[in-house]
Amino acid sequence: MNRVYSLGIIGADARTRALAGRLSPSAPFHAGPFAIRRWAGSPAGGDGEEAAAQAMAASVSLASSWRDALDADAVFVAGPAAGHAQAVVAALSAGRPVLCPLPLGVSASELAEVEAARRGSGAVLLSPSDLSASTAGRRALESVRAGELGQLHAVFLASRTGPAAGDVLDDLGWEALDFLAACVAAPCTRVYATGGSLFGAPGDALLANLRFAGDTIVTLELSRGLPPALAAAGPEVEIELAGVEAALRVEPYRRTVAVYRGAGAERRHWPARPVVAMLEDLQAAMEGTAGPADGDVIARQRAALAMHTALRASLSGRDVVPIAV
Amino acid sequence: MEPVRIGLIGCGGIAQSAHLPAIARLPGLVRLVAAADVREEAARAAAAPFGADAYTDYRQILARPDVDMVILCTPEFAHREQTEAAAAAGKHILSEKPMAKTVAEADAMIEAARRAHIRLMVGHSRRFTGRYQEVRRAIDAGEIGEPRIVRENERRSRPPAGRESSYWTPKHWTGDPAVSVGAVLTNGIHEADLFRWFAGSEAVRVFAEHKTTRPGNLVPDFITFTVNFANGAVASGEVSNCLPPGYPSYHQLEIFGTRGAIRAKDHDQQSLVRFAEGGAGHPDSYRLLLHVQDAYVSELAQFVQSWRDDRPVPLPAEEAREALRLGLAADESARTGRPVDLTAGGGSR
Repeated sequence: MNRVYSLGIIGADARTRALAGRLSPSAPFHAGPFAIRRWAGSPAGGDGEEAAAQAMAASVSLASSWRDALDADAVFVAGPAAGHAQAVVAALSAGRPVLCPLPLGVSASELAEVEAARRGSGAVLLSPSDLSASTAGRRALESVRAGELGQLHAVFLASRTGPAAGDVLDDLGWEALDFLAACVAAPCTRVYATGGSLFGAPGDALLANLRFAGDTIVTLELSRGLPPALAAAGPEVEIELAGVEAALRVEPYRRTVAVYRGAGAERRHWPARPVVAMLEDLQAAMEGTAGPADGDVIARQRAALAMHTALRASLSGRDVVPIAV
Repeated sequence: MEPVRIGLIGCGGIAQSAHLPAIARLPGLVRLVAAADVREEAARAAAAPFGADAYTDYRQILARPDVDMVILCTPEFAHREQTEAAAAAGKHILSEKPMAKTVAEADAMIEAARRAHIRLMVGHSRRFTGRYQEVRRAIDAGEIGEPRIVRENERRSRPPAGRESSYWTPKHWTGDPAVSVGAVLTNGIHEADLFRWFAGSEAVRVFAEHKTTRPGNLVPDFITFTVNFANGAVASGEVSNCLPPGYPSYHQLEIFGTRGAIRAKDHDQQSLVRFAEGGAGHPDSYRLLLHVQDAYVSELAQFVQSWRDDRPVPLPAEEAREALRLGLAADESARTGRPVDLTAGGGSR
């Protein structure tokens, strides 16, 4: 009989909401042998009510302290990014395998603390994103790493949702920048960004151009401008990688079947479930059947953080911002 | 009414693929009477099917009193001289895009036309395609609210091995840095024009990154640029000529507004995919969707009809001047690595 690992969850967000019913102790998750033992709000706060509701849906009680959630075979860190590093460092220091969808930290010093904790504990640390864990995203990264595209001339990446609160650089940017850092082997050397409030909410759009050492040029669009008809199918990500040898087009979230009937057309969507892939990777890493699938995650997030910081500075300064290499 | 008599100046690729077929499709409205090209065989090949005369010097066309208008199918570096000469000869002018090499040249062309009381229009052909006219109609009808993000990516592939073209190489004017600034004007002028048209506002700031992708070439064949408009809209365009052979050339237009969005992407709507040795492509649907041939027919017909009806030309030359200024500002930004402020005269070199 396969072993069932207990899982402590720290923080609550849309991703953990999808897990709540599936990983309850009475409903073992069909795609991985995990069951929730403890659930707690983020050390950063702000998600307490959401965590309580999700814990109730998972039939577990909410822990009074986030540290109580470390008492498990593995720890899933979610919720506000500002609480990630503290929870990850504590979990690693306790010797727990950690799955923390990015970011691991929101400053260079936080990433350094996470790196030191990982080095000290040797515990498994995975920090994927929905994009890098999606089937199409994985295939794209494998293709780039295998050299199938050759040197990248250009990358186009658009990540969009419907209208919602929240700054797009914080909410959509980490995933996009992490993916870029994984695709382009060289560091980003300068960025330019514009945008702001285009659809009525603060920080709801960002359009940017990034240049990397080695001459790869990136066009980036993050926005909350999808109208209801498009947003109903969920967020969409569109990526085009133009290499010397080949080009690749990736639409990981638009898993669409178009049905043409009479004079009309109907598009059917079904949701991507990258969190399933994340848990499968965690299980494989814990059992030693596969190494972490996402390479040097901290180096990559350090590169993403540098781009994130520069894009923020470019937005506010309305000018090009160089990144020291 | 007698057909308008046309002199064609420049008989290269765009004349053969677009303007000559358009003339042939409007027999009651126009008639080709003369064609000129520095390459005599090109002039003869263009003129012969129409029973027109062929010349190697365009001035010979301008000297003919039986030529009512000229179509300039020459590169942008020739447009000012030819426009001034044609205007002085009293010929109406339909010019290929981009309008000129510099804004000063464009201004001189507009002034020459004004002084001579002749009509001058620059053929930004995309504005005459059914697809883009429908997009503009939807915007005008308020179907998506106010456009906030306008994006168009235009991608073209390199020719496959064994079928290399001189295009973009130093052997061809498109690749000669003395007369060409590269993709931003050769292709990107379309995006510069469409961004202004769809945003419904004037560009105030632009930033661009460009590169030359093929070893030995000297002018950029890739550019990406981001434009801020006075009304708050933002546009983003990527124009590349560096995709691997076999990659289908296509356009992706997306406009996100305050109440809706418009998508017009070739690859989402392709009606015919051809699989051949070089890969997969959809050349027929590309033409079908952009209605390239129809666009040139419509462009020419509307130009001539506006003149007969004594109405303004359908696309004022001043519009082409502003598209040129935006394109040149993008080039300036890419070369300097800094955003360019168009309200402070950027792009007006």
